[in-house]
Amino acid sequence: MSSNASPGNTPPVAAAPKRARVIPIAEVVSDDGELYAARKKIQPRSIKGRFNNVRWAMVWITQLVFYGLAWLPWNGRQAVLFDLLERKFYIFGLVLWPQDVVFLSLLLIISALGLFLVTAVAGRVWCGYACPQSVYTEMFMWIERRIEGDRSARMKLDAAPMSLRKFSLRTAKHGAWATLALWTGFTFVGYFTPIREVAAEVLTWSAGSWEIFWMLFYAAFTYVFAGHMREQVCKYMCPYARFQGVMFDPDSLIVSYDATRGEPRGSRRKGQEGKAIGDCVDCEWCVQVCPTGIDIRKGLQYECIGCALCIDACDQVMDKLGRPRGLIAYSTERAQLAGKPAHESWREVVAHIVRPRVILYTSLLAFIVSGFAWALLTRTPVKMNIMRDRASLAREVEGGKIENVYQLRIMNTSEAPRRFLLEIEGLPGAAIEGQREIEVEAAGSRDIPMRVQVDAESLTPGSHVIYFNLQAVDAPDVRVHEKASFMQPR
Amino acid sequence: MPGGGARLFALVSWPSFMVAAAAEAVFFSVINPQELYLLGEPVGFSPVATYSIGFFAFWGVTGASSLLTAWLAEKLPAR
Repeated sequence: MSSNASPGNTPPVAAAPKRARVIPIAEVVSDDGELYAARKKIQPRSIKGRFNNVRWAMVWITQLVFYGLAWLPWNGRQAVLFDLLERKFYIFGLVLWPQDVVFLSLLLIISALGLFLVTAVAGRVWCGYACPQSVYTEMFMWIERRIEGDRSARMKLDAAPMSLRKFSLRTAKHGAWATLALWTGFTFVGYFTPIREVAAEVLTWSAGSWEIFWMLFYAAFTYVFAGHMREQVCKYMCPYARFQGVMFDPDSLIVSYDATRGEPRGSRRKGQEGKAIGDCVDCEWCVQVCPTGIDIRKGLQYECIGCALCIDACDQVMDKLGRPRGLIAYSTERAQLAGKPAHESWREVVAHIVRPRVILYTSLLAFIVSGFAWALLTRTPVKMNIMRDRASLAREVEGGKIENVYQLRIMNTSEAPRRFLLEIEGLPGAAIEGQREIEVEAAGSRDIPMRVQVDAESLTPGSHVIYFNLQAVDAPDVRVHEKASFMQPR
Repeated sequence: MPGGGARLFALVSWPSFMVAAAAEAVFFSVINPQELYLLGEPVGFSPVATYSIGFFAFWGVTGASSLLTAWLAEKLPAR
């Protein structure tokens, strides 16, 4: 981090600008010209307020879902399970097979478009409130604060030489971090292997070595990213942080400082009451609460993750001073240029939101979501793969008949066992030898060999088209129609 | 993030990790690990082992590519 963002070292700001300064998102290059300057450890001050409450609400929501969903049962199985062994994804009542990969790619496209839309409208709300990096960092910081105290206590502890107290505090912190990280790793693995089985295996020390490996791998990931790297992940590693500039425009929501109102900044001393002075008292709270250690008063910077904690901090200070809130507020570049940075009316807010880019993203999203929903709802809950038996192309059997052997794989993607009836058509005189009624278990598949015989005299040599019809006994609309070929060798 | 080795490590390992994760997802969603052949023999590992080895193989390849790019970019003349 560049040294000019550290507290207590703010450069004096020149005369009050006539208009609010708007600084485009840019990398702040540190003094030595290195992007990866030696990091100064950031010890943010904790703050209460509206946006902090929203952040914590998001921590609760996302983590209750993440830690809890893995344990939720559904029809006698885990509700959400990406079963790698069976190659089936269970999402509540939906069972996705490898053939359904298009649904997963559609889901990814929907997520990406949703992120574009949210970014265009509300800026980096994803980063500030919902990104796992922010959420886990918050949880790890909470643990740190409970054990080592708030900002000043932690800074003192950092500076203090090793002692019994420091050692025990550090041990407690890392122990608590490790516990949370291990639980996170365990939950992660529990989404790919049934979590109750994994839990039983872990408790009896019989878990597979790869499962243990991935648990530790993900735990180490969480520990390093949320405990140690924190804002550096956003600053140096996150691709979204780098290309968000493309999705931003002057109407996107940003956290901004109202320089017109705040400057010239400074503390209010006695005897200076008559002097023209801005509302910013230069208390540095906005800098101290920032998890990425920036000074929002310098304008919009790419390090800003839009968490709005500086708004909470500044609001508290303004309340104490008896000044109106909103010196730091959510605003837009256009509003700033117009000289009215905060507290816009609803009409103006709507005018910011309704613009071609947002309309385009919304209609694209609506189109893809409805297509997705339509495809999902009209999906036939049965699939059939037909493979010709590789060993024998065709052979002559008793009664002057030609026989072809097929391997059928029938996949029942519904949640109940089903009976199917198999028929063939398209080849006159062809008949199925053997079992024609097939039962397949719920969300299961069955491989069966299928022999088809035709009178040898009735066919010309070569390949003939044949159709397999699979029809559910209980539901007339659940049927598949697959094409295959029948070989007549002579 | 101090310069030198740690910086290079982060620059190389992280993007290659993300691309490897994407490659893994695409590859194994279209190919069943039990239908893979290794040196003419069907792969005998458990599916989880195949997925894991596959991931690290992807990461190795993408990491090598990132490392080369980092090395080449380092030698670029200053603009």
